Amino acid sequence: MEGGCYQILPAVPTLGGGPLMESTLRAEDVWRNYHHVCAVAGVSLELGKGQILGLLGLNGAGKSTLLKLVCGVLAPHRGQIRIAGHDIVEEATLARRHVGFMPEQAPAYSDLTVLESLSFQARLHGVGRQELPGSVARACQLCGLDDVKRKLCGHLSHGYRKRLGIALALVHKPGLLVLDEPSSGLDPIQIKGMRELIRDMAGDCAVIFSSHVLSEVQELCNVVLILHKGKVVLKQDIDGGEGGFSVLLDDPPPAEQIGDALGVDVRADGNGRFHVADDGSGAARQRLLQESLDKGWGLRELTPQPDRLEQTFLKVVRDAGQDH
Amino acid sequence: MADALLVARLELRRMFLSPVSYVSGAVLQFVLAIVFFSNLASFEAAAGGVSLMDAVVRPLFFSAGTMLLLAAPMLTMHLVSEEYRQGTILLLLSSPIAMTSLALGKFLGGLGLMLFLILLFTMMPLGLLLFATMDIADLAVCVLAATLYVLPVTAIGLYASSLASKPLLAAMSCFGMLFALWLSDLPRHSGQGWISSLSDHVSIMNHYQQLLQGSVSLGSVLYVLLASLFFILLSVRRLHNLRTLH
Repeated sequence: MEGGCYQILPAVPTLGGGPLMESTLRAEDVWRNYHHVCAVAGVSLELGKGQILGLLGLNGAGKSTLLKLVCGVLAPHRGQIRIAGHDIVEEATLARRHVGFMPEQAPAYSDLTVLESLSFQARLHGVGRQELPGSVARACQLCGLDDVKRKLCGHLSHGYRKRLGIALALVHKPGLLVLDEPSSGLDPIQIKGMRELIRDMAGDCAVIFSSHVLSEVQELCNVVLILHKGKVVLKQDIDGGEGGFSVLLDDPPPAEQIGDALGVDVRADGNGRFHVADDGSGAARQRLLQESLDKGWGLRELTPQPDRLEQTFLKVVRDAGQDH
Repeated sequence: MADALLVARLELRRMFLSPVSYVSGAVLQFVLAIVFFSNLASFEAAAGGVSLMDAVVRPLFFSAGTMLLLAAPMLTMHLVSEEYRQGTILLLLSSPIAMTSLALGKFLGGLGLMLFLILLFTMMPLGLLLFATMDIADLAVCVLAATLYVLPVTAIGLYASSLASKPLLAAMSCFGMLFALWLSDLPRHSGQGWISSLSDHVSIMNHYQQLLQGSVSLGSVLYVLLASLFFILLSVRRLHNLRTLH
């Protein structure tokens, strides 16, 4: 494993992902069997406001079970989960007030309108009558449901159904947003909108979501957790430095000079090869081409950074599979 | 309790959006109208000696009891099983509502629909007041008897609904349980000894009949209340197990 950004955890990990202001979610050594199979085995994690945790794993790895445990749908057979300081079993009512959950199928009452569904969900989570119209309007506006708010939920398209799922999860302004494969079944435009929505939401709460799309996790998350057969096999803090490309120059200046010219971090890899960090916008690549022409650096080769998360995912899952 | 009322309101609203409720209600009303007018015609043909209450109203309420046993599975099958089928149970389980409040809310919603149906067929004997004299207190006792009678019927429907993720399966389970309760009335008429005595206590129709006659005994009231409580508690346990079992 290179770069020091990834680490395979030998045992039960405690999530980092930067300094936490306060723990919205704290899970300690959580175990859960499901139909006589150990679905979650000794998972510990911690998440604070502003953090987005991506949950990766093969089908049947225990992602959905872990999400259901976190939001109180299932009770852990062992271990403890605390939401905003409240135990999810002992203080269930208090703890679940702080959770917004969107299951994978984004269920909703098909015979109710969007407004009715949101109002019921908000009232169920303790939103008072006076705040109710504001909360529902805010959820509709955030999730782009204003055009369909008087439609029956059963008449919504799949994309709107997913948006409604998120709206139902966030209508009561939860401290922890739990989303099970939020972008599955959406078209590219809808996926982009969904990602923007999740990013916006993370400003006010902690977000934990599962996905099979590695690029989505890489783009959105501060922290990535890979599960395999219910166990955490990898914890990864994404520091934003994962993107980028490497270049080979015939007449290279010092790395610092290239970095100053491009306005990004540049690391010399030797023999005229440099690794250039990019924010994903492509601006650094454009500037490099321009500077190389202007200053005669002799650009010979430009190679995009290989997708390290994908490589890591495949490696740890393969290794974990061999171990088992 | 506020959560239970919230769920009950939603349930009642959804029941009035469902065609199943309207069709079941219409069929019930139609059959009971035939019973009512048939009894009324017999009463008019008879020379007298029998009161309007005994000849028309009580038989109507007794027939309604049997009809409600048949309609209850259809009316209550959606209470919880629809939540399983649509996946909305996950939203309820992740919400702060206690399972007791959820079960109670569902029960009250189902009960609301039953009471509405009682109100509908009570309109028929009420209409008689325009043309004949009738003791309104006797009619009120019949309504009270029907109200007490639907308490355990609804609770059984709720429990059956909490067992199955397919509404039709829930309806069949409910029908089976109610039919067994109805069958428990048979030994009372045929046998003697402890079986007959047991049947006296267990038969829901026996208690209903006694209530309709105006003999509101503590035993009958306790029977319906305890039976309702028993099946509501079973439903709570079943919902609670969704979190802990598997």
